[in-house]
Amino acid sequence: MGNSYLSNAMIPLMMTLVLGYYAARLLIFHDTESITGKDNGKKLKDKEKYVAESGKLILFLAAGSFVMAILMYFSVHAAVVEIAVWFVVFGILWKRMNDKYGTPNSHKKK
Amino acid sequence: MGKKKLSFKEIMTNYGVIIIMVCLIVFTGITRPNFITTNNLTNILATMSFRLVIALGIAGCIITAGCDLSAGRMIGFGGCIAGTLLQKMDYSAKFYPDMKPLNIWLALLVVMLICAAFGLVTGFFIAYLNVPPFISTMAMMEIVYGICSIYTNATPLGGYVSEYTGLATGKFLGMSYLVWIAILVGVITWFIFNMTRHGKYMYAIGGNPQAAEVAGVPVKKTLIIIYAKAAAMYGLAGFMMGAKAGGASVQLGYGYEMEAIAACTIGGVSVTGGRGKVSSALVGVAVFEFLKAALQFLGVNAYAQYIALGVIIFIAISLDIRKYIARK
Repeated sequence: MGNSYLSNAMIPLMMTLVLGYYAARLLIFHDTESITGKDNGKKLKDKEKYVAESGKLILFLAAGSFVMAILMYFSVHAAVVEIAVWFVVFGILWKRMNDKYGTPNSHKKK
Repeated sequence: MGKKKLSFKEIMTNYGVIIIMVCLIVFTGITRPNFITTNNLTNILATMSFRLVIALGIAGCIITAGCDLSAGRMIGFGGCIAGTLLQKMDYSAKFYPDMKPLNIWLALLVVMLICAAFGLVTGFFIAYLNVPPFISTMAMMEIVYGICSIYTNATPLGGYVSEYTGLATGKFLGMSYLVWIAILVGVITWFIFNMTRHGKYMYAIGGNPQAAEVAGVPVKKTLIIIYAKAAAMYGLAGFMMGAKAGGASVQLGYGYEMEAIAACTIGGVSVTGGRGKVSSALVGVAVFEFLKAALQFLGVNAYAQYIALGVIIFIAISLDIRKYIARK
């Protein structure tokens, strides 16, 4: 049971670690380029705010992934619904954050 | 117009990894007589076939300076869907006991459409919500894995109809049907990359997305199509793998996305975007698969093989970034 659970939960646990790592790079080292790429990091509207907000949002997704890993022990169905909803919320929050502090969108109709 | 002569340093920076790997393959061929045999080469070609399909899908994403970490899980999902639709009627553990096996091409279409739908969602998150590709695709990886676990109840599938497994065992002009499918996919992808407006848009986005938008490139639509197309290709790869293995499980395709990204990088698809060809993916996959076979023939320990492959990926990506900095 334990082994089978671990093999099932390996992916969400791994994702929690990876996302946690990126969140740390943003929140502690203020390394925007780790997620935007070398060029886009220079084009942000407000770099400081972007770093803080994107770091928090990635931490939020990492938490969602961790919750999924826990839920997988009880019900895979619940775990999938949870991560899907969490991801949609994350996407909406990310869009808001990016519009406020991220790369200016040249395609927007005036 | 004279051709610019490449210096030794430039040759090593551009082709160093490939040269060293080819040397190793030649060395293995000389020291291990069983390495270059028709049987072994046929086997490597069959393995290369679905690896190439995955690499071509990922190459499109990498050219736009993105990536797709959901590829491996999508392959597993595609393989499992195909498996459930193509089991023999008399198989004792049949997934849908009362359902007749579908026509294999219809099953392939179903697999590719379902996977493309997931790719469409990933593309939407990247294009419209501006979520970085590695985060979107990683989240999609989890979702697809979960859905696949629920769909199959985490049980392995087998007992396929002979028409399906015949794709791997059957041959045309001495080559497995899987190889012919890969060749066909390669030709179609080459056409899309080089002869269509969509291909030009893809390179423009990879070069400079802001400039591409200003120039009127439909960036969002193009990105969505790229990720949906890539996902459909992972579905196809899963279908091909299922035929070769004669079975599938949730674990099918585990870690293949990393190897596909590595193969693309080794072949010359730039992780910084805007550069890469079908031939780059082909060279990368060929070198990578022959190298893995060579390491096995040389009797290298399985864990040491992972280390060797990791070192190669690290060097290839470092050289690629160095080339990018030099270009700037």
